[in-house]
Amino acid sequence: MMITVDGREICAYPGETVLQAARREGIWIPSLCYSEATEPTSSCRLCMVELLEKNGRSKLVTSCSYPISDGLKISTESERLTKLRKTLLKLLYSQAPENPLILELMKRYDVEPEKKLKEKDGQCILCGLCVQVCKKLGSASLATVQRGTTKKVSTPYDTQAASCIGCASCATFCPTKCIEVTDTEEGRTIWNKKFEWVRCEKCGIIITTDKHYKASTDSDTALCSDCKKKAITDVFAETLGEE
Amino acid sequence: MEENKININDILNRYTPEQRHSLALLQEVQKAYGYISSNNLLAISSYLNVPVSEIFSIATFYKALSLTKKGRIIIKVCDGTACHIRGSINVLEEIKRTLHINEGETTPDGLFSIEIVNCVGSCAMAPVVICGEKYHGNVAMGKGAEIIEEAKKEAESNE
Amino acid sequence: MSREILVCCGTGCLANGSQAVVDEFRSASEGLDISVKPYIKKVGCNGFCENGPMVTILPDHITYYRVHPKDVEEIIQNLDKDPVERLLYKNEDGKPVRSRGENPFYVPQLKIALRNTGIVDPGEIDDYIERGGYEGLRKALAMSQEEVINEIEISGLRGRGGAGFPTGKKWRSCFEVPSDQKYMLCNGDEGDPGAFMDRSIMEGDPHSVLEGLAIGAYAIGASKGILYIRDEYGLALQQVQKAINEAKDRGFLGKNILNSSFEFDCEIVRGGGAFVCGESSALMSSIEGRVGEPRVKYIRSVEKGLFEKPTVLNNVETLANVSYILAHGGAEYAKLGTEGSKGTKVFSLVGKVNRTGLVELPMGATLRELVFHVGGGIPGNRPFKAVQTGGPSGGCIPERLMDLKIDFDSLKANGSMMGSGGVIVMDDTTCMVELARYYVKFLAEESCGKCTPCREGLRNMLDILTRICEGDGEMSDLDLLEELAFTASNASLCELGKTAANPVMSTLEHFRDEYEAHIVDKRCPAGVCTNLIEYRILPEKCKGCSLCAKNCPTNAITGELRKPYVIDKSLCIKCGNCKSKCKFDAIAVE
Repeated sequence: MMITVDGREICAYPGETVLQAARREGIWIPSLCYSEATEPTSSCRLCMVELLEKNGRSKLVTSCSYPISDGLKISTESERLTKLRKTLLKLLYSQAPENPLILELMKRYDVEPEKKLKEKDGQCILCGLCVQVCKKLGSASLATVQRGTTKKVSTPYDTQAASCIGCASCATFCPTKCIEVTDTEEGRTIWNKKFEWVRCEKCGIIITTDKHYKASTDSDTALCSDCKKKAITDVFAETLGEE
Repeated sequence: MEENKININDILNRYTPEQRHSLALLQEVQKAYGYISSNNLLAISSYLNVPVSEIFSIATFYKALSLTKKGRIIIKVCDGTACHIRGSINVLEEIKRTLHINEGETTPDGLFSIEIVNCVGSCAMAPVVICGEKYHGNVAMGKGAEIIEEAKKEAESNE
Repeated sequence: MSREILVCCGTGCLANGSQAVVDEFRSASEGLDISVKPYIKKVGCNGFCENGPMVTILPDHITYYRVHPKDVEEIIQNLDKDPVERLLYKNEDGKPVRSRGENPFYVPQLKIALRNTGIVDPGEIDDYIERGGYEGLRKALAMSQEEVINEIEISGLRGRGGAGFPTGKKWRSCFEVPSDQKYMLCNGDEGDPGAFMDRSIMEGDPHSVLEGLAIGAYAIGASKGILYIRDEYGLALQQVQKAINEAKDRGFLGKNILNSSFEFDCEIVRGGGAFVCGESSALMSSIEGRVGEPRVKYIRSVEKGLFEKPTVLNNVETLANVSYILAHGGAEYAKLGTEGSKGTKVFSLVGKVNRTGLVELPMGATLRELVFHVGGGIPGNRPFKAVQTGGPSGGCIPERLMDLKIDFDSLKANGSMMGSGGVIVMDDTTCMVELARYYVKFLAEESCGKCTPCREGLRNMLDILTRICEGDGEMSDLDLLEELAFTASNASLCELGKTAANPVMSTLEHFRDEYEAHIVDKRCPAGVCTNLIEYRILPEKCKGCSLCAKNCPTNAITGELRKPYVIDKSLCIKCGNCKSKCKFDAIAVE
C-alpha cells in the first residue's frame, strides 16, 4: 500500500501503524511510550499527527496506534501539533524532569519548564510498558493501581510479588528509567524483593537472578553465553576430531 | 457476626472461572465481608486464573470496592452537582464534626464510616445523605447530626 | 372501571417513605367491599421527587403529593367525594390543582421515553403489554432487519447518552459487518451528577428498555445482550432483573421469540463505581473483567467491540424511544423536535429551581420555557445566573442565551452540549469559579489516568482553580488554564479528557469577571469561597435572640440577650449554620 507522509509517498504494509511505516522510512515522529515489543497504549500522546481527510479537514490521531490503509495522507507538523507538543512536554517534564529524551525534545521545540505545573514524586510517566512487558514474559507482577490523578504502577500491596523473577525487563523497557534496580556482588533488589545471582560455573560471571534462570531454562548446569558457545564448539571439536 | 459464616468458596462457585467475572466476584466479596482481604483477593485470583496483580488493579480502580474494613454503617454524602450547589459540603462538614473523623475514615468504635459519593440519582431531593441503606433527602443544616443520632440508636437496639 | 391507586415507589419516593404509604393503603382497603375496593398499584418514578410520596387516583385523575401514611384514611374516605385539598399541588397563584393535567410541572411535557413510567407497575409484564408493550418487537420481527434499521433512520433518533450519534447509522454499520457473534449492549451507567432519567426508566419501565434492546439485537444480528447498570442503582438492578425473568417466561426473550426464528438472551453486568465506564470502550473493557480504561477507537466497536466482536452500545433512554418508534412508526416520531434533533428529550431539572425533577419535552423547546415555565423559576425570586447542561462535559449557558432552542447542535454551537440531559439551575449564590473547580475535581478523580493530557492536565487545572478559590491566584493562571484546556481537548485519548475543560472554558468565557474578582480583588462575589468571605452580624437587624450563638459549632458568636451579637472571625469556620437559623436575615456574607 502507498501512504503519503509530509507530501512524500512511502510504502506501507497491512497491519502496520503509521508510526511503524514512518520510522522504517526514516521519517521522525517523537514518541515516549511506544515500544516495538508491546501493544501501543497511546498514553504520552507525543506521536500525534494530522490525518488529512477527504473533506479538506484534518484530525489528530496517535500514529503509534493508527492503522495503515491505502491512500492515507499524514502530516507530522502543523501549528496546532507544535502547540500541543510544547504543552505535552511541559507536562511530561513535570513528571520526569531528569529524562534525557524529554529534555532533548524540549530543546528542539524551544520549551521552558512551566514552574506552575506541580511536580510528582519519581519519574514515572505511566506509559504502562513495564506492566505489559512483565505480563508478556509470564510473570505479571506489576499492574497500574488506582485511577485518575493518583494512578501509579506497583506490585500488589506495594510488597514483594510472589511471581516476580527479578529479570528487570521492566527497568530495561522503561523510557524514563525510573524503576529502581540495585545490583551488588551478592544479588539484586528490585520491587522490594531480593534475589541471588546465578553465576557461570566456568568463568564465574553473573548470568541473571536465580528465579529468572530457573524460569528460562531446564538446564542443570549454569553457563554464561560465552562459555556455552565454547562448550558447544569443544564438543564439535571432539566429535569431528582434530587430528 | 454473620459474615464469618460465609465461606469464600461458596461465593466463588456462584460464577464460572472466567476473567469476565472478576468484578462481579470482587463485589460479592465486598458485600459479604464489607471489604476485600488479601486472602480473598488471592483466592479470586487463583480461582479465575488471573494474575494477582490484575485483580489488585481492578480492586483499586473501582470505587465500589475497598481493601480496608469499613464501619458497620456507611454514611454516604452525595456531592453530585445538584447536591453540591444546594450545600452538600456544609452537610458533610457537619457530619465530620459530629463524628470527629474525615471522609474515607472510620470511627474508632468501628460503627461509622464517611464516604463522599458522586450522584446517587435522587437529585430532585438534594442534598442527599444515605445512612446505611436509608436515603435522607433535603438534608438541611442540623439534620446531619440528627441522622447520626437516629442511626446510633437503631444500631444499639439491634445488638 | 374500578378504582386504581397508584403509589410512586421510585428511589426518591421510597426514600420519603412511600412503602409505608402502600402498606397503609393495603391494610386500610382490606375491609372494603369488592365492588368499591381500589387496586393498589406500586408504580415507578414520576420524576417530581421533591414532592413525593406521590399518589394518583384513577380514573378520577387526582394526584396527591407528600402523602404520609396518616393521610391514607382520609384519602380513602374521600374517594367518592371532593379531593383532599391540602394534599393537592398548589400552583403559582396558590390555587390547588386536581390532576397532573393541570399541574404546571407536567402540562408542557410530552412523554415518550417516560410514557409508562409512573403509570405501569414495573414488576407486572401484563401492565406493560396492556399499554401496547412489545408491539414494537412484534412489528419488527415481521420486517426484515434492513426495514427495521430504515425505520430508525426515518425517525432521526440520535443517541440520548450524550454524544447524539445517529442511532440508525450505528445500527447499519454493525449490521453490515459479517460475524458469527454480535453483541447488543445497553448503557445504564448514568454517571453525570445531576442526571437521573435513566434510573427512572430502568426502575419504572424496564420492559421498554428490554424491548428496545431486543429490537436492536434483531436489526444488527446479535443473539446476546448485556445491560451494564450502575452499581449504585440498587432498585433499578432489581427491577431490570425481574423484567428479564418475566420477559423470558413469556417468550419475549430466549429462543424463537414470538414464534420467529429470532433468538436473543440478555444479562445484567453491574458497574463498579466508575464514571469513566460510561465511555463505550471502557464499558466493554469492564464487562471483559478488566479495569475500565478506554482504548483508541480507530477501529470502531461496531466492527470490533466486546470480546473483539461487532457491538452496538445504546443508552437506556435511546432504547426506550426505539420500542416506541417501532410500535408507532419512524415518521410519526420525526414529526416532533427540530430539523437536526427529532423526538423528545428527558431533562433532569435540578438545582436552584422551584420545581425540580424529570421533564420530557420535544426538542426545540427553549431553556427559558424549561426553567421558568416548567420549573417555576428560582426560589425566593433570586436572580437567575446560568444553567449547566451536559454535566461535567458540558458548559454553562448564561441569561442572554436562554431563548436558545434546545437541541444537540444548538447547545454544541454555544460552548456546551446536551449530554445526558442534566440541567442544573444556578442563581447568584453559586460561584462559577468554584463550580469549575468542582467539575475538574470530579473528573480528576474519575479519569482513568491512562493518558498524560487528561491525567496531568486535570491535576494541574485542579491545583490552579483551588488556588484561585483560596485567594492565591494570578492573572497568568488564566493563560495556563487555557493552555491546559487546549491540550486536553485536542490530545486526550477519550471523550472524558476531550470535554474535561468545557466547564472551565465556558465559565471563563461567560463569567470572566468572577475569575478576576477572585484573583485581583481576592473577593468571591457569590459569597461561597470560604477563604474569601466573612460572616458578619448586621447590628441594625440583629434582635439578640442568641439562636445563632446556640447553633455555632465553634462557639464563635458571643453577645448579650436583646443586644446585637458578634462573630469572632478567628473562630468562624463559615459553615453557614448561623445564617440558616437566623429569622431576621441579620447575618451577611461578604
